[in-house]
Amino acid sequence: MAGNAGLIAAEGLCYAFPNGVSALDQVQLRVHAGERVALIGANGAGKSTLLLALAELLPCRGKVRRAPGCRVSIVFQDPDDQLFMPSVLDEVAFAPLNAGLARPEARKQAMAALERFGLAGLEERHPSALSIGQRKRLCLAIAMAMTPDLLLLDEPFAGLDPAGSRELARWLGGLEVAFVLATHNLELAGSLTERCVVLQGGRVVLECPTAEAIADADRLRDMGL
Amino acid sequence: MAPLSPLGRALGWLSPPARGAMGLLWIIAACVPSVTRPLGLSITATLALIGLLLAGGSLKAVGLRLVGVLSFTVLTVLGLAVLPSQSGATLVALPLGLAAPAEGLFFVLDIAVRAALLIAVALALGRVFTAREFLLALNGLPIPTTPRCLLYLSGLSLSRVKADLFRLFRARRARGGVRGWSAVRSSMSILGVLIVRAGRSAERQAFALQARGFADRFPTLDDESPSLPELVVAAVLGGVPVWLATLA
Repeated sequence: MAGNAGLIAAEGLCYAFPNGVSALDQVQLRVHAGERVALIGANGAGKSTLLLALAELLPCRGKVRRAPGCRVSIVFQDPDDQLFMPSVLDEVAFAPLNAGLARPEARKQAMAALERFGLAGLEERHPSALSIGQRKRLCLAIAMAMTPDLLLLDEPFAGLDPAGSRELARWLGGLEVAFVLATHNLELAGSLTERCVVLQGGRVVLECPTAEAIADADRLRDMGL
Repeated sequence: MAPLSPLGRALGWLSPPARGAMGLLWIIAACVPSVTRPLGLSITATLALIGLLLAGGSLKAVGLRLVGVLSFTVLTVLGLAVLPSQSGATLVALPLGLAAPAEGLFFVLDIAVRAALLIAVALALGRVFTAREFLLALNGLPIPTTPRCLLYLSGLSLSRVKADLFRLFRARRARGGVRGWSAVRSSMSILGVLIVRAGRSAERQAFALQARGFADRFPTLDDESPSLPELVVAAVLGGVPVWLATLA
């Protein structure tokens, strides 16, 4: 997929839960290199499911097309779901080692990622011994250690206090990769992304510049936001 | 996992895989004793007790975990007493005028004794490894990939399920608590909730593993291979209890 086709494109994505409830219904989405997109929607709108589909973790109907060589990383809402190694350093080195990198290189890459996200000095700690804010940053470090072209962020501000959310937003603002940010925090979505996609009942109901969407408070309220 | 105990520190000079090999032999030693070999049984029980105390484990913790074993034993013995036995079988008199075949009773008691010993050994071993050492031990032992991954993930899930269980019981207490038959019923529904939550959590973990390129292993940055002297010491420390357990 080259140039205008974008980094990743979802075409007619459909997914239904085993109980028959539709989670995604003909979703179209395109993200270009370096672009930052907010994915907004009420609870149950299909944001997390769409991110899983974009990461090709869910068997959906429709297509997800990636540009050749495009690497995608995902950060889940609950850090505990994606932390399973017994030390912070092993967590970050997990993906590089599984990708076949030699130990010295994997260590170097992991240390660089930890330093970048302000976690240097915590290498030997058990991930569960970190604060929620540190665990969220660890998840970011894990995702970035995979050197992705696109990062999928599922409600990264959930469970954080306002100061913690602002701090995490600062780290996200410093990323050089394209990302899709699923969030309820419209203020931070406005400061971090240029474009927003609003989901309702598994369908894309609005796609426009984020600032424009946020300015239309009545419309967002009608969408349950 | 609990922090290292005096036993863990004493064995700390052995690499995690060597300690893992020793631990495997301890588990085998706990499975060998039989009520028909009283010497081996009493030596193994004494060793398990000493190991448990050196590991900083409490008898109360063992006692709490024995509730299930005791229930199993009582119910099975009752079953043996009530069900018709084979003609010619030697019967052993039980309280309340009941009788059960000796062979069946020995079998049930063997299972109960081994389960109790396994609980004590598992508690002691849990305090011999840190979480990271447990993974290093698994990675360093010649275990097939799938059981190794399952063992590690099971260990990981156990602590999460335990934390979830405590939260659910705390929530029940916060709502006034329950007693008697209602407590049993509410415990059953808590168990149901736990199973559902564990399933969801496992699904999310599977997604995370897949997203991070899981390739049937949990690699660490510094896998340790045990030296020959370490393996010899581990074989002796683990093999002697196995041999003692077989004494008649």
